[in-house]
This record gives sequence, structure tokens and C-alpha cells, in this order.
Amino acid sequence: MKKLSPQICFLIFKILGFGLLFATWLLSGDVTGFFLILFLIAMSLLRRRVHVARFTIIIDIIVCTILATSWEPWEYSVYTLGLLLFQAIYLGVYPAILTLLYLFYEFSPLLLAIFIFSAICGLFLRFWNLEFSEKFKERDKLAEKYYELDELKGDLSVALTQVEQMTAVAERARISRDIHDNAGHEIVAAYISFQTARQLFEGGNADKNVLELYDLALGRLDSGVNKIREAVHNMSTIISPGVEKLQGICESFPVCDVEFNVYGDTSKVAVHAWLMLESCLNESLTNVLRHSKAKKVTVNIDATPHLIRLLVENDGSLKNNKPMGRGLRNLRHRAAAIGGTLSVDAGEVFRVICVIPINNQKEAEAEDEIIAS
Amino acid sequence: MTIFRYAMIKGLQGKLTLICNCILPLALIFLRPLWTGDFQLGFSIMAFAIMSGTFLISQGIMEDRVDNTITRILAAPVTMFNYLVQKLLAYIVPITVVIIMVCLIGFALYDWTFSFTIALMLCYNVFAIASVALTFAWVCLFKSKETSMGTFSMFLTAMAVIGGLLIPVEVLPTAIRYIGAFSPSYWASTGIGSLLLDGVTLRYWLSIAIMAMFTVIFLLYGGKRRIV
Repeated sequence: MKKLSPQICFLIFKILGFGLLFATWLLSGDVTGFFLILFLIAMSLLRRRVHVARFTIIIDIIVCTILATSWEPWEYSVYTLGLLLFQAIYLGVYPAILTLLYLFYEFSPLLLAIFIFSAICGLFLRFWNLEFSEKFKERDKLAEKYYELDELKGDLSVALTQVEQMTAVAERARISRDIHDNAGHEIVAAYISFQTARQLFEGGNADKNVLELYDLALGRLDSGVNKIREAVHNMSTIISPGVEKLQGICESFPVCDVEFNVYGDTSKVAVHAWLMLESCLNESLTNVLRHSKAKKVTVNIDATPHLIRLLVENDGSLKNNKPMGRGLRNLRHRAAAIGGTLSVDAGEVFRVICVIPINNQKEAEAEDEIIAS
Repeated sequence: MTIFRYAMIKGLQGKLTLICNCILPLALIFLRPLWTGDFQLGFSIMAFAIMSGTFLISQGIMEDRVDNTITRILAAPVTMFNYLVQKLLAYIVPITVVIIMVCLIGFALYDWTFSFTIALMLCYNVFAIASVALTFAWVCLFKSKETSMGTFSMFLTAMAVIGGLLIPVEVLPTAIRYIGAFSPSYWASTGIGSLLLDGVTLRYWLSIAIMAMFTVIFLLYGGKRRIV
């Protein structure tokens, strides 16, 4: 069963009102009265179905007042004014209260009672409806917050997975680089030395068995070098998070030119910070695509020893735009989670600035030492 | 206007629809006894023919819904408002043309005055539009074509009787007349009656206005119901 609401009560009151008007029409049998009732029903349906302005009720009152003298006896037409007064007050069209002036023209205690009753009912239902609407608005706000938090939770879990994956990828890249730069070079150098020594052995009186054993060892070393090279090749990553990836995103942006600048040393920036900057850049460019008429976008990355800053600005800021949508709000939470900040400047040039601190390991160790001493 | 064109073609393809909408009204106007003498039954019989014709032709909305044509139409970039406007226009235009022809023939054959012909034309046209709106609101209530057709046929006959199209309004008991006032047919016969007796009077204009109000109410009611 449907719960009783102000709208339902309003509808019941209206139906009852129209029912009573039809009853009065049955008593009079006047054609004008019938037309008036139909007109009021049509206008009422129009307001309900098509959502025209509530002030159209003034038209109803004017038509009713004009036709008041045509419906015999005249009291019947004034009853319609009572119903209209109720509707007008419910809809918040308070100037309709002026219909009470009709009483100065033709006074009757019954009419006064009808007018007062209609006005009180309309006022009561209006306040009830306002309270009801407030509750609905509050519920909608709470629901919106809930969905926002839910979305943020999803974003954070996706970001966490990405960080895990990219950390693994970065670690693999570091291992392969270390093998290639350190162990690999040493082994290759040893291999070349052994090959040179082999040529020296051939010139001397080396034992045949020793040479065979030497060749076998050299062959195995050759095989080992190839395996190390293959392993290093397999471990190295195709795409790694960093400046190149952000540049790639900017270059593939389809709408307008994106100027991409990098200042400072970005080699100390951690993987999770790059991922955050990547998400921020993606969101900013998506916003440019959806909510602006930008002709030029500038992306600046400033890296200092302590922090990295991403600035995305576009010249197509629209006046009606909200400064910060849900996507940017979620990113602000993510930035805060890693100790960073995200701010938006919605002036003539729309700017998104993301600042993330760099955890310098050497400095951290030095700080620890100072604390320990 | 593709929907309008095809709705009109489809609407007039049925033999019965074509007869009720075009042939019968045009044939009736040539039956001199109906339009002369004391009783002049032709006016109310014509209104009944218009009501039946519009009822039959307006079933197209129900057919579209039953065979899912409407779903396919709305898959195209056509709004529901656009669809309904074109459909209803397609049902109103043929009968309007026929009404104009009938009135012009009547004007030529039976010495009607020019103002009487125009007033009659207006009355029939408003009634035809109200009938289309009524049928539209009615078919929006039902999901099955058979149920809609069966119940509406009975409703139509009852409306014709209590509305004074088959029996003169004056003959009907007062209570029945009050019930009949809730159908457009009553106001059509009242309008025609006052036109025949007194000419274009306030009562005639009120009848027209009431039929127009019925049209608005039916369209507003039907237009907001789900028909897909």
C-alpha cells in the first residue's frame, strides 16, 4: 500500500473538491458551470502532467472570477474559488489570497467558512510538503555522499592494485638494470679476457687436454653470458611509469595541442607518485574534453629534491562549470592518502595542481641518524 | 512527417475504416430525407458516423503497441511527443477533409446559410478531434487490442445513446442526461441542436468549448501514460 504523502492528500482534496463542484452543477444544471469545472480539471491536469509554471493558477482564478456571474446561482462559482485558493496556497502562490476580496462583493458566512477552510488546508499541506521535500533532499544528499564514498573506495582499491603491479614492474626493471650494469658487464669482461687468453695459449706449448677443458669452460661461459642477456631482456619492461608515459598521454590527446614541459630531475620519483600524477593528468584531460572549449592545454612537471608538482591548465574554462567534480574530489582524497595535495583554480584559466612529496631515502636515513645521535 | 504519412495510409487501408471515415459520411449527405423535414436526423447520424470512424482509425495506436512497431519507431531519433502528434494528426486530417466536403455539399444541396455551414463544420471538427482524443485515452488504458475494442464498442454505443446521437436529448430522462453530459457526444448533439434551433448562440459556443476541454483532458491523460 502506498504511504500517505502530502501529494496524495492534495490529490484526494482536489478530487473531493471537483466531486462537490460536480454535485453543485447537478443541482444547478448550468452549462457554464460544467464548462468551468472542465476548464479547472484541464488546467489542473496541465500543471500536474506538463509541469507548467505554478503561477498559471492565476489564470484559473481570473477565468473563474469572470465566469462567476454567469453560473447561476452565483455561490456555486465561488465554491470553485475556494478550491482554487486551496491549490494556490499549496503551490505557494500567495497573491491568490486576494480572492478573499470577493467576499466584499458578495458576503456569505458559508463562503467565508469555505475560504478559510480551503486556505488552512492548503497551508497545512504546503508545510507538510516542504518538510517532506526537505527530508527527500537530505536523503538524496546522504545517498550521493554514500555513492561518492563507494566510488572513492573503488578508486583507491584500483589505485592500490596498480601501485602493487607497478612496484613489481619497477623492481623487475631495477633488478634487470643491476644485472646488466654490474654483474653482466663483469662477466662479459671476464669472457673477453678468457677469449684473449685462449689465443695466447694456442701460441705456447699448452697441453691438449688442458686446452680441451679450457674450451669447454669457455663454451659454458659463453652459454652463461647468453642466458644472462636473455634473462635481462625478459625482465626489462616495455612501458614503465614516468615522464615518457605522461608525455605519451599528452601526445595522444585528440582535441587540441598539449604543451608538455619537464623541469628538474625526475629520477627520484617513486612509482606510486607517478601513478597518482598519471591519474591526475588523465582526469584533467578528460575534463578538458567534456567541460571546456580549450584551444590549448599546458602540462608542466616540476621536480625538486623534495617534491614533484604537476600543473595542467587550459584556456577554455566555462562559467557554469563546477570548480571540482567527483573525479577531482576522489583524486584529492588519493593525493592526501600519499601525503600530497590537489588544488583547483577555476578562474579564466582552469588549473589543476597536484603536489606530491618525494621520499628521499638517503635524507630519511640521515634524519634517522641525527635522531639516533 | 514519415510517421504521419504512413499512419494515414495504414489507417485508411482497412475497408471498414475507409467506409466509416470517407464513404459513409459522403453517402449520408446525399440522402435528402435525413437533412430536411421536421426531424433532420442526418445531423446526429453524421456525428455518430464521425465518432465510429475516428474510433476505428485511431486503433492504429493500439496496433502499433501490440505488434511492437512503436518500439522500433522509438529506436529511431523520434520523441514520443513527435510520434503522438504525427499519429493523431494522421487520424484527424482525413475526417476533417471529409467533414469540410460534407458541409460544402450540404451548403450546395440544402440551402444552408454560410454561417450555419461554418458553424456546423466547426462543431463536427471539434467533435472529431475530441473523439480521436477519447479513443487515444481509452486505448492507453488497455494492453490487449481485443479487450480495448470489445469494451470500447459497448462504451461507444452507450455514449451514442445517452449522448443524444441516436435518440434526441430532449427525450432522455434527466438523470441520463446528466450522465450523458460527461461524454463529448452529448455536447456535440447539444451544439448541433442549438445551432438548428437558435443559430450560433452562447450555448453553441459553450458546447464547442466543453468539447475542446474534453479534448485537452483526454490528450493530457493519454499523453502521460506509458504506451510502450
